[in-house]
Amino acid sequence: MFKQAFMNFSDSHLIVLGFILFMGTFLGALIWTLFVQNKLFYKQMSEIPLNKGGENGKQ
Amino acid sequence: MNNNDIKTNYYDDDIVRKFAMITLVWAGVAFLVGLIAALQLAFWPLNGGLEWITFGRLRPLHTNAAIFAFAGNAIFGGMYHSTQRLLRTRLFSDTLSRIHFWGWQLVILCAAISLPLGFTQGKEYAELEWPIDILITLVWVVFAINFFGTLYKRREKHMYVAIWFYIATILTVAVLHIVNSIAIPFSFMKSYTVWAGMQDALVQWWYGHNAVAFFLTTPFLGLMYYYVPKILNAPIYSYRLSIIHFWALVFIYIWAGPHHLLYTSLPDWLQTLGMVFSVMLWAPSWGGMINGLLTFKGRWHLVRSEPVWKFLIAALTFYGMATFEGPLLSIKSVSALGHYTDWIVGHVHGGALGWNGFMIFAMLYYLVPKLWNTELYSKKLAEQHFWLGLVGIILYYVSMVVAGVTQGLMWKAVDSNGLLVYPEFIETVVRIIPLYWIRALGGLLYIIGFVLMVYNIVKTVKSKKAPLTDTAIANLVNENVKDNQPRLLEGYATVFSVLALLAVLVGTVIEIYPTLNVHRYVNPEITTQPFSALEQEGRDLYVREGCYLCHSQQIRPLVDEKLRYGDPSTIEESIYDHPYQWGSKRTGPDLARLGKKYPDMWHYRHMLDPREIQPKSIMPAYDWLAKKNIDYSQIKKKLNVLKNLGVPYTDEQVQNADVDAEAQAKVISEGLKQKGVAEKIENKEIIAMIAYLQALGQKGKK
Ligand code: HEC
Repeated sequence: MFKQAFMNFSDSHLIVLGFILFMGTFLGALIWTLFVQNKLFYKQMSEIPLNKGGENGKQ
Repeated sequence: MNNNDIKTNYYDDDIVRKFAMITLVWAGVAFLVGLIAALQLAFWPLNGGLEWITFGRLRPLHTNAAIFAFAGNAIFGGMYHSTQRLLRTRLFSDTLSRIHFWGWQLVILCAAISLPLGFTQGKEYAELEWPIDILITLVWVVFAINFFGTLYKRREKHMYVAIWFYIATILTVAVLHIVNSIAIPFSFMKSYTVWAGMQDALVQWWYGHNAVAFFLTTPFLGLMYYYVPKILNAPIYSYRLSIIHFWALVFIYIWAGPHHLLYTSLPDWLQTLGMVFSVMLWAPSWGGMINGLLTFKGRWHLVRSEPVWKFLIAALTFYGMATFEGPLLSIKSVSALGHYTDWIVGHVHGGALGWNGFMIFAMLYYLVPKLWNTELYSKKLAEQHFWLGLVGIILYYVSMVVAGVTQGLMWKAVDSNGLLVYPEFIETVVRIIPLYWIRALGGLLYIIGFVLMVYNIVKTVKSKKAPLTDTAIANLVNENVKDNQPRLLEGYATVFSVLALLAVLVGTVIEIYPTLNVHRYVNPEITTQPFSALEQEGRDLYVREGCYLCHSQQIRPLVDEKLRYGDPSTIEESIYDHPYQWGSKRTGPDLARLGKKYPDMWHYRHMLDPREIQPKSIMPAYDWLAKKNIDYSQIKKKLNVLKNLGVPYTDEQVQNADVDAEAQAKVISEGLKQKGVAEKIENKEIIAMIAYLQALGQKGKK
């Protein structure tokens, strides 16, 4: 199956470009959520639907 | 309480009530038309001998009603309800909301009238003709202004993940719809798409697949991220996962379209790209499903007594199943077996009935009592609805997968002499007809469940505690989002929207741009002849009748297909086809190389009554083709539009189109007369149809 798949890799620069862009987006999102933003913020965010007053409205 | 007070301190619940109710109406229509279409395949006389309700015209009505009327109205209602609450503000404009509502119903009404009349662009899920396409665009713009306006005046600074999914939905659907629907009209209700052949196929499935992605997936995921926590009264299992889920999903989905075109004459690198990205899609999809299901953690014991929870869990499970099966079907060797069969129909309905349908039902069971300020009339009925629906889907799904695999294997069966084991296509059809009955039974159960729901909802609404009022907004502090306090990406709506759009456009550009230069992929030694005027007229009839919904015109480079249908299709052969008619389902045999296979008389008899030639056929009879006259008045205009789109007609061919067509029609009808046809048929549509069928596979040869 692999042989068959790789056989069809013409215009490979476009495929490679697609892949790099994807990996960039994916790793970017991963690093952003896991390391850059803090946990407390996400906890607040996840409570927005439940919290009638919303994130900014907590007394 | 004055008007201004309402506008600032209350949510607009009335618009949500409107969308919720109309969803139920269109659901009934979509389900019923689907059931009839299913029964037509099991029992052909149900085509009724009426052109307006033959399978080829009913099937687009069913898909459009299911996607745009049933799911569409549900999405709008759910989005308007949850967006107001997540952003803590009333919708931007009450007037725009109402224009959106009534405008969309007008679109649906136009579709319900024009599709049975045979007005279609011949592209799946994008059948509606150009005036309706423009109307859709206008309504969508109203929707977008209303939504982004609401976003602008929000009181909640940061946008919850559901809002992200809504943003991606609105932007992407706009791009998809506009690019795929670009067409040049030649009359009030008819046009030719600017895309041709392989290019059209690619654009169409970039659109078609992403209609699934951005009309039936992202908005529903947004709804899921709001209503699951809401109904369970617990935050989503992992908010971080939802972020990764979002970005990975919107980025990858847009690339996956070519998996609908594996083994076709689409350039190989695009097929590979589609396959690879489709397989990758599995991961974020399951991330989303797991995130939803794990939210139930520690609460599973409550599921037993809560039918709405059951709907949610089943919906998520079907989402997981469909998004596992999708990547599987995108692997070339699996596609070789599954494509063109009922397996795909089963796959789609697992998603549509299970994921979309059950999500909508759960949402409505939750929303209606809240919006009418009362309790659900009967939990027990909801419970029965759930089980009926579930059994219905399972019967539907299993019967279709078995039918698909059975038929796929029969098509492929080759004996030790290298000959087809089932050379007669009809043998493979007859074998699966019992399964068509089981499918219809599954659909019927699903509908009975739905009827229980309608009864339940009507009773609930009747028990309302009048008067109906809008819900007050709980906390009005912090009016101003622009408070100069630091915030994160989630707090910048514009930047966020641009990023989301970029994620979607990358795949679009990389896939579509190279094919604009189609000549790169064409063999210069081959000159393709365009269709004659009469053949083109026949082609338009082929599109009108929806023949492409049962017949493909694309032979794949597989042994059995070569044995059955002849040489694989090439890019050149369909290069002037506006629209392309490769098809996606073979309820009947492929027609790409049909020309000259049978004499004209064969087609004449077969079209008027397929059973006369093939006693077991399930193809509808098209006797009106022998009664209606060819409309020669449009032919010049048609050829002229095609010429402008790049089809190499000469000026003389355009000028003489009507004369040429009549001359060719005379030759064909004379021939038929000699074979004993007594009726006056010279000017009848059947002649144009025969001319077209005989031209199939005759163009674009070396
Ligand atoms: C409900 C599905 C369905 C629709 C719609 C349909 N067909 Fe068919 N068609 C079949 C089936 C099944 C067969 C095989 C049995 C037979 O020959 O009748 C078939 C066979 C054919 C054949 C014979 C092919 C061969 O190689 O023997 C032709 C030609 C044909 N159809 C043309 C059309 C045209 C033109 C239309 C539209 C006006 C159309 N069909 C619409 C199901 C359909």
